[in-house]
Amino acid sequence: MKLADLKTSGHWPTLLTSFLYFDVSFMVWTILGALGAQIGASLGLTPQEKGLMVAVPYLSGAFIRIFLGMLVDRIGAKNTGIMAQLTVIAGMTTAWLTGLHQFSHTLMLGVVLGVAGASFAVALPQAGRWYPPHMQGLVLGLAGAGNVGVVIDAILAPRLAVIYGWNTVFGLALIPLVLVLVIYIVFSKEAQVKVKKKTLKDYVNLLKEKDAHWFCFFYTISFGGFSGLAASLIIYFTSEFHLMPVEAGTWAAVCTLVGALGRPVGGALADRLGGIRALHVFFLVAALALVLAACAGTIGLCAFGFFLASCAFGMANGSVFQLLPQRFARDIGVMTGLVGCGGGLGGFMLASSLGYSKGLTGSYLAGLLAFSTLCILALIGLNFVKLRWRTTWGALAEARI
Amino acid sequence: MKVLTTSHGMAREEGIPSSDAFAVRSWDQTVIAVLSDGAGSGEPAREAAQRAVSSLIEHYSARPRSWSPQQALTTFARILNLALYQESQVRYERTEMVATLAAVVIEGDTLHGINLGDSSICLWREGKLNTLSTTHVEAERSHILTRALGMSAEIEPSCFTLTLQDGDVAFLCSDGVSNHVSKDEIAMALSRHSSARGIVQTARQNAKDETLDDMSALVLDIHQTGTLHAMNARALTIPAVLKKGDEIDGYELMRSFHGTSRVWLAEKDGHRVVMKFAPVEAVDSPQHLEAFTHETWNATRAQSSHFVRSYEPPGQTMRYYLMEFADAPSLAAVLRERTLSVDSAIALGKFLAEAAQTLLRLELAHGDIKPENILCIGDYTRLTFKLVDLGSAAAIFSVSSRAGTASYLAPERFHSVPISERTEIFAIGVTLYQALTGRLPYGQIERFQTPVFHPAKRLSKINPNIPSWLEAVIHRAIAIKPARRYQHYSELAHDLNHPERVQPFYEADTPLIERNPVAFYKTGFFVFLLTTIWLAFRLLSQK
Repeated sequence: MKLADLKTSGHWPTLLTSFLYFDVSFMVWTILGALGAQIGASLGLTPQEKGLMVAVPYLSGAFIRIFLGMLVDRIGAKNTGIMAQLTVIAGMTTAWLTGLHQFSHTLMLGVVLGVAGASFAVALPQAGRWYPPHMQGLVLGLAGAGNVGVVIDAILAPRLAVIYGWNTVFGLALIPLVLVLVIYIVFSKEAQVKVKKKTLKDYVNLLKEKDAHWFCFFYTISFGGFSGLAASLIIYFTSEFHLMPVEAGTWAAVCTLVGALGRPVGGALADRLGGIRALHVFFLVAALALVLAACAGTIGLCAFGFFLASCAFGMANGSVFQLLPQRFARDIGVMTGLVGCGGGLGGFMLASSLGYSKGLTGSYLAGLLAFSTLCILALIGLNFVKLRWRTTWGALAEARI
Repeated sequence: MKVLTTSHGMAREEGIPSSDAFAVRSWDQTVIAVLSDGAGSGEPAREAAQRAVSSLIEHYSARPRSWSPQQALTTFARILNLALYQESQVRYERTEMVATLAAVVIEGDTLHGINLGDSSICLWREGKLNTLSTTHVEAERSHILTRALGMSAEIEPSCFTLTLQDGDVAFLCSDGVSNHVSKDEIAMALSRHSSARGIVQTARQNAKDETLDDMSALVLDIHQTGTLHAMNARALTIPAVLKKGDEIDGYELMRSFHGTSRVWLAEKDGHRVVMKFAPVEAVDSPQHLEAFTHETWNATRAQSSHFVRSYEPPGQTMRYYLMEFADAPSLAAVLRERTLSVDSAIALGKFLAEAAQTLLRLELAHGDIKPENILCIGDYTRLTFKLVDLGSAAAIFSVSSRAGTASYLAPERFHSVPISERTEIFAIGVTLYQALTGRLPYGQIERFQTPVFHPAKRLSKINPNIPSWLEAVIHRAIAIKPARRYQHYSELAHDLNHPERVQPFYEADTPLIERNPVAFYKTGFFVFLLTTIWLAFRLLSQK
C-alpha cells in the first residue's frame, strides 16, 4: 500500500477536507487550554476553576460525539459536519463579540466547544467510508493526524493573545473555521455506502462484553492522558515555574508535538510486537514519567517527564486503535464511539483533577500521582485481557472482519 | 425401496485415463449418485473429478443427523470447492483443479440434487425426459464453463428437490454423452430400460473423431420408492443458561470445564460423559450454528484411538454432542509441574503425527494443536495421549485466516497462507519444543500481532539431555521457512521412527560454531598451527 494509491481509490478531496475539518476542530476544542493561563489571570480564577474550564470541553465532547455519531448515520456525515461547524462558529462568534466576563461564561463556551471535539465522530467515518478495508488504517491515520491542531494552538494562541488580547483570539480563530467550512461545503462528498444505523441499544449491548470495558478504560487513560496534558500544561508551567504564557506555550508544544504524531508509530509497534505488550510498555513509561514530572524541580526535567508521558500516551492511542478494529470487527463503528467517549472523560478527569489538586492541596502532585495510579490500574487490566486472549481464536470471530 | 443402478464410462481414447469420475452408493433408505467431469484432460482436473466424487459420497454418508440432505449437499460442495481452489493455488499457483459436479440423493421418496457446470441430471417419467439440472456455460461459447468446482473461492450450486413415483428413472451424464445423444433418444432408451452402457455406446457411435470426449452415464431405475421420509433438520433447542444439576435428555450436569459454560461433565445411569453444547450466539447467528454443526460432524467422524470418541445420542432434544470422559490432565497442566522426558516427547511426536494423518484421511487439519488440547493418560513414565477439541478443525487448505492460537501458528499463516500439513507440522513442532523445555520457541505471540520470527534457541542449549537427532527433528518441524520444514506428516513420522537416518538441521543463518563446533575448533587449530609454523619458519630463516 502506498500513498499514491490514495489518489486512485476513494475520494481524496473528502479525505483532505475531513483532515482540515478535524484539525481546526481540534484547535478550537483545546483553545481554552492554550489561553487558560491568560484567561485565568484576567478573570481571577482559582486553580480549581481553571482546571474545570479547560476540562469541560472534553466532558461535553465525550457525550456529544455519541450523539453526532448517530446523527451521521441518519442525516449523513456532510450535513452533520456542516451543522457541527456552524454551531462552533456561532459559539465562538458570541464569545468574541460579547466577551467572557466570569467563570460561568467560560463553562458555557466549553460546552459548545465540545461540539468541535465531537468532530471525530464525523470526520473519521466520512473519510473512512470512501476507502476499501485495507486502506482504512492509513486513511484514519491521516485524518487522525488532526491531533496536531493542539500543538499549533499551544504555539500560536498565547502569542496572539499577548498582541491582541485573548478575547480577540476567538475572533481570529473564526478565520480558519469559516475558511475550512467553505472548503468543506464545496469539496467534501458523501460516500455512497449503506450503513447500519447505530442505536443507543447497540452501545448498551456492546457494554456487556468485558473487553469493551477494558478498551474504554485503556483509551480513557491514553487519550485522556494525552489531551488532558495538552490542555493543562500551559497553566501548569505558568503556575509552577512562573513562566510567561508565551514561553509556557512553547514548552507545552515541545512536550506534545511528538505525542500528537505518535499514533501511527504506536500502531505499527503494536502490529509487530503485539498490542498488549506495547500497551504494557507505554502505560508503564507514562506512569513513571508522570511521577518524574511531578517531582521534578527544574523546568527541563519536568518538561522531559511530560514529553515522555505525552509520547507514551500518543503511541498508546495508536496501539489501542490497532487492536480495536480486529477485536470488535463487526461493531467497530459503535465501539469507536464508546471508546472515544471514554477518551473524552479521561481528558476531563485529568485536567479537572489537576485543578482540584492544586486548589485543595496547593500542589499538582496529588493529581498527577492519581493519574499515574490509573496507568498502573490499566496495566492490571491488560493482564486480564492478555489471559483471556491466550485461548483459541475462532475462525468465526476472524471472519467477521 | 428398490433402486437398480447401472453406470458406464468410456475414455476418449483407449489407454488414456478418463477425466470423468462417477460412483453410486446405497445404504438403508438412501442412494447417492455422483458424477464429475474434470475440465480439460490434465492430471489436476482428473484428480479434482475423482476427489469430488469420493469426498462427496464419503462426506454424505457421514453427514450430521441434524442436517437436511439439501443443506448437506450444498455445504459439502462448498467445502470441496474451496479446498480444490486453494490447493490448486498452492500447488500450481493457478486454477487447475476444476471439475463439474452432478449429484443426486434419494432419501425415501424424495430426490435431492445439485449441479455445477455442464454435466446433466434428468428424470424420466412416463416416457418423458425432464432436465433437472441447470447448465452453467457461456451463451456464445458453450464449451466454456461459468460455474464449476474449484473455479473460484465461492460457488453457488443449482439445487432441486422433487417427490418420486414408482417407475421413475434418474439419469446423470457428462457432456460427452449429452452432446452426442439427443434428449429424445435418451428418453427412448430409458423407456426400453436400457442400461447406462447402452446409452454411452450410442453416444460413442454418434461421435465424430473431432468431437470425441470422455463419456460416462449413470442410470438409477427407481422400481419402488422408500416409505421412510428424509430426516428433516430437527428442531433442536439451544439452552441459554446451563447450571450444575440441570438434567438434559437424562444427563445430569456435574461441573463445567475450564471456565466455559458450554462444556460439561455429565452423568447418566452412573456413566460419565462430556457434553458440548452449541454456543449461545448460535441462537440467532446462522454462521455460529453452522460452525457448531460442522464441529459435530468432524468430531463424530474422527473415530480412532487418537481422539476421544464423540457421538450424537439418539433422540436428543438440544444441540449438543457427547464425548467419552477421559479423566486425565492436559499436557499444559502436566507441563506446569515438570517437562516431559525425552522418551515421552518422542512418543508424543509420533502420536501427533499419526493423529494428524488420521485427520488428513478425512481431508481435515486440526487447526489448534497445542498442549491445552492434548490429554496425558497414565503414569508420568509411560504416558499415552489423546487429541481433543476439533472446534477449529477444517478442511485442509480451507482456512487462510489466523484462526487458532497465535503462539502455535506457522509464520506464513500470519500472511494469509492457508492451513496445510506444513502449518500443522509447525504446531506439532512448537508443542514438542514446549513439552521438552517448558518454553515456546518463538516466545508468546499475541492474538493481533504480526510477529517477526528469529531462529529459535537450540534445544540442546536449554536441555543438554536432548539427543541431537531429536533436536534436528524438532527444529526442522519449526523451521521459519515452510519450504525447509517437513512437507508431510509421513516424513515427520519417519524421522521419529528412524533416529539413525535424521539429517542435522540448522536455520539458514546459523554460524558454523553452532552447526559443528568440532569442525570449527579443528579448523581453528589447524589455522593457528600453520600460522605458528609459518611464523617460526620466518623467524628461523631470518637468522
